[in-house]
Amino acid sequence: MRKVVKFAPKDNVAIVLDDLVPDQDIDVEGENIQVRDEIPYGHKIALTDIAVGCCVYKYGEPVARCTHEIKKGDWVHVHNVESIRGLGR
Amino acid sequence: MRKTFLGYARPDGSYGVRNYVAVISTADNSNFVARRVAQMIHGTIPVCPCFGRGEIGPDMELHIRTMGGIGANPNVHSAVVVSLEPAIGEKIAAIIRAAGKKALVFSMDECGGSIGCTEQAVRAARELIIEASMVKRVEVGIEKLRLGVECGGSDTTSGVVSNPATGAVADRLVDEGGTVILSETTEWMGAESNLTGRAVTPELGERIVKAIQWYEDYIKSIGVDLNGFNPAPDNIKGGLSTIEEKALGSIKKGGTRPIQDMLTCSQKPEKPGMYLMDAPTGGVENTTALAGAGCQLIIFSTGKGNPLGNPVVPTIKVTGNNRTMEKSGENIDVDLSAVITKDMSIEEAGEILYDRMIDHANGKLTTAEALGDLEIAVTRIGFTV
Repeated sequence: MRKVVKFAPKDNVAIVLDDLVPDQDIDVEGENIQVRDEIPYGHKIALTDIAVGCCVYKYGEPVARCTHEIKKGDWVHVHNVESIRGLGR
Repeated sequence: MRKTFLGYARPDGSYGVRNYVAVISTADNSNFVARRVAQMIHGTIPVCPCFGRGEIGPDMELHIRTMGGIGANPNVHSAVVVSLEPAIGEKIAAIIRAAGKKALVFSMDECGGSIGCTEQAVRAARELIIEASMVKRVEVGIEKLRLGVECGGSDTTSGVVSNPATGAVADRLVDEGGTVILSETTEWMGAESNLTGRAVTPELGERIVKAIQWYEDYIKSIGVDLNGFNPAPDNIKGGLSTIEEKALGSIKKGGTRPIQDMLTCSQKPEKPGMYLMDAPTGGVENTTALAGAGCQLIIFSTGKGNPLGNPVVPTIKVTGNNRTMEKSGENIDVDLSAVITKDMSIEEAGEILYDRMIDHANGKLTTAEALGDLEIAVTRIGFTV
């Protein structure tokens, strides 16, 4: 399997199946992306800029809402996105 | 592709993949007796719940249905039921007897306290285990399998490798006339469109959405965010950021076939096919509910690793995470990490998993059986009174 996997055309994140480091160049379906953070095995990388309040798409479905501005190449996880569902606060 | 397995014929027409004599404790207050009986009689297995005393209404119904369902599970030849008092023991035994099996009740109240109860139960268990030893495996069609699909310690690889491979097995088993049950309602949250689209009627689709909504409303009613609890810390460490992301990976283990109905905990499906079970997410709670519904096997998909087992149902651990294989591979039965490290396809991974499932059905021990994890947990609805 490729080390970076994008599941659906609509997706704005991909999963990484290796540990990535800043400034590393990766290829996602022919597009070059420069990694901006340390991204651990199994975590997500942004394929585009994502503005606060916008949805994160994986498997072609909305899986999260952006809470802190995300740049292409950023690590996407609980520090910059949150669930849309199951919020009781 | 093998289309048969070697099973133990039961009076109700089902086939077990194991041949246990279960020593069933009716409630937490009888567990020590059940464990001592099982220690004394080689080959018997203790089934020990938390709670069971002071439960009312739907809680007590679920407790009895589950403990009786475990005794009636095809993997159980017969049962000794130990109890503080005989009434609840008889209710559990009645479910086991309705499946055509022997279920002998011994209560501390009627047998001279815990020592007398232990003595009589040991003598009964000795007879039953010798009887059970005379039952031999026979070849039977794969359609006799009822498979639970479950995940725990999920991470990103679960949604990419082990859940889709489990889903491929689920589809194949349903196509062969078998039965598959997918549970963990909270982990359908965000994946409603897939499930409702597969429901055989619009009404079933509405019930599925309502079941998920019930959990979401409960979370909101207590004023907490689900995140941090589900996904849990190990899921988050493994790359899953939200419940929606986890759910969309989680439901892949249920394959793609039409959903016939949504069962409640420990409810048996009446005909073959693909089913949902509206059950809470905790792994032990879930495997207990699947055992109570008569599943003979559970495929347990994991990313970060999870060692849990069940007293009567083998849990086949499968992972696609090559790093988990390096760190804690001794808790894993089926390694599908070649999907990530090499070029193995999900289709090939599904074929391997299906084949290994038949091996375990035929008697090969799972790692959880070898390590002896025997915990159960019957879901609680309300309070004891």
